[in-house]
Amino acid sequence: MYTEYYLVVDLATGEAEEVELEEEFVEQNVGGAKLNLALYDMYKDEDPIVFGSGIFTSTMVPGSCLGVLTAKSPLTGEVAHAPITWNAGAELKFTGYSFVVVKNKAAEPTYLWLHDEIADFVDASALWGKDTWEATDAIRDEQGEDRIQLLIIGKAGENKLTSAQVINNYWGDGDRFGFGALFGEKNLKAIAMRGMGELEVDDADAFLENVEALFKDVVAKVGDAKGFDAADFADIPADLRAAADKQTHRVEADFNSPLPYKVYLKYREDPSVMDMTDNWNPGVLVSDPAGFAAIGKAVNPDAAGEVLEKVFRLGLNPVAVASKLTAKDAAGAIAELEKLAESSEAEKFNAVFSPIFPESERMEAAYIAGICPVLAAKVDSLNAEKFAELASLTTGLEFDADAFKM
Amino acid sequence: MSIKVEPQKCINCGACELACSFYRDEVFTTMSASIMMYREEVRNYFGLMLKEEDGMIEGRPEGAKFVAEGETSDSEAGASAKPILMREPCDKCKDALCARFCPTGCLIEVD
Repeated sequence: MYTEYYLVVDLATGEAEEVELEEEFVEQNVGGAKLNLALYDMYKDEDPIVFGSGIFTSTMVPGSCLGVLTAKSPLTGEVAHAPITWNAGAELKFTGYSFVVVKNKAAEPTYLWLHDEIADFVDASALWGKDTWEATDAIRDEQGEDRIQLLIIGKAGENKLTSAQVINNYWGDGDRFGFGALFGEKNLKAIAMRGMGELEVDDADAFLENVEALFKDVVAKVGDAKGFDAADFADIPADLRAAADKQTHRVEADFNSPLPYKVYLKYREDPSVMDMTDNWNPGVLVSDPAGFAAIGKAVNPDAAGEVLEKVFRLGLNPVAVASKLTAKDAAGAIAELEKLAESSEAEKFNAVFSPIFPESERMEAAYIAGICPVLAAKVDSLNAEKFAELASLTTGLEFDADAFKM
Repeated sequence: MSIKVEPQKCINCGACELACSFYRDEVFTTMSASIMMYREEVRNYFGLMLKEEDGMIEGRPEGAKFVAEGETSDSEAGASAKPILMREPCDKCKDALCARFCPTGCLIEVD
């Protein structure tokens, strides 16, 4: 269920070391946020950022998308875990490394390119100053692969704002902890990932039988929930919802998840258009419904999508910056965001601090298992007991439900 | 048996890629499937391609169509799925995992 090695990257020396992911270490720490924390503690004197996968990330267990970013938050001063949904967690494992520890600071802007058990340090001087969309396109062009998954920063991260967010390709995600500023501090523009790796399972037949039963249960419990109806934790006001419904194009799910709670809004093109047109950027993916709600409460509802796009491009945390906006129209709010992200001093934000996903007794287990927390919060069969049963069956190791607690 | 594709139901989860790869090699990967997702991410134009013996089914947002081997697709979309030409074609297996693990009915097994 894991790769043979994890990777330790030293940005100061430009060296990367493969370290064996020992069975005993997995037995003790399982994965995800819990194993990340153990790695953080091992390297804590070298200012590490740990990006790691859960024990089920990249497997056929429903919702197996999750990657977790663990570091000391510049905002809170505490070690925190940011959930990264979509495809980055799964792609990390396919690179051949289930965990990567990034320590120290690069002398010059750099991006880390992980692919097929290779770690390249790539000069990112030309990308410094570019927004996340431009930089994502540039890295994908440079490496010749448009399915590369990225954790990337924009100007806010480069300027080390505590409101900076690590962006997932073009879209915001679970970093409410100012980790974007840590990337900026390290001169790390991005971690780019793409791999052709394979993960083995101990007993394929037993695994398939068990996971299919779980899949059917999860799909039945998800039912018809989709779009903003599937993101009910986000507290989206009625006027914002009405405006968003008029712009809704299609809905999407995270890697191997049956819950399509991510909504693409088109505001530069008729949302009913399904063909690919010449318009290269017709809208934004509402990858973070709670962030969208925060922005939508601050500006005019029909401007929320366009403003959110700018938030993502600058690499800002929407919940943090929403309280700073005074303009209600898109142009005014975008001008305010640009000014904010260009701040030359690291502003300490006192904005409302909130988790991206609802508190849930299953959240902790999901963060360790590598399961999408939005899905886990909705489906009660995705719990510590089930994870322990599946993990024991598929690894040959013994886990109990307590293993899926921090 | 064959697979019918209704791309408008696709939610871009990629479960089919995982499932088909697992059927072939009993490992978790997306790389050995006869199915590939493609995505023009900023434009939100996404779907899947299914390789068959004599061509492939392109499941685009506007609908599915069969493109015979040697024919050229009329769109730049799907460039990310070009490596599918290197993949094994669908062997039309019975009780196909790709359809069993598709959560929306985008892929359906038909006689």
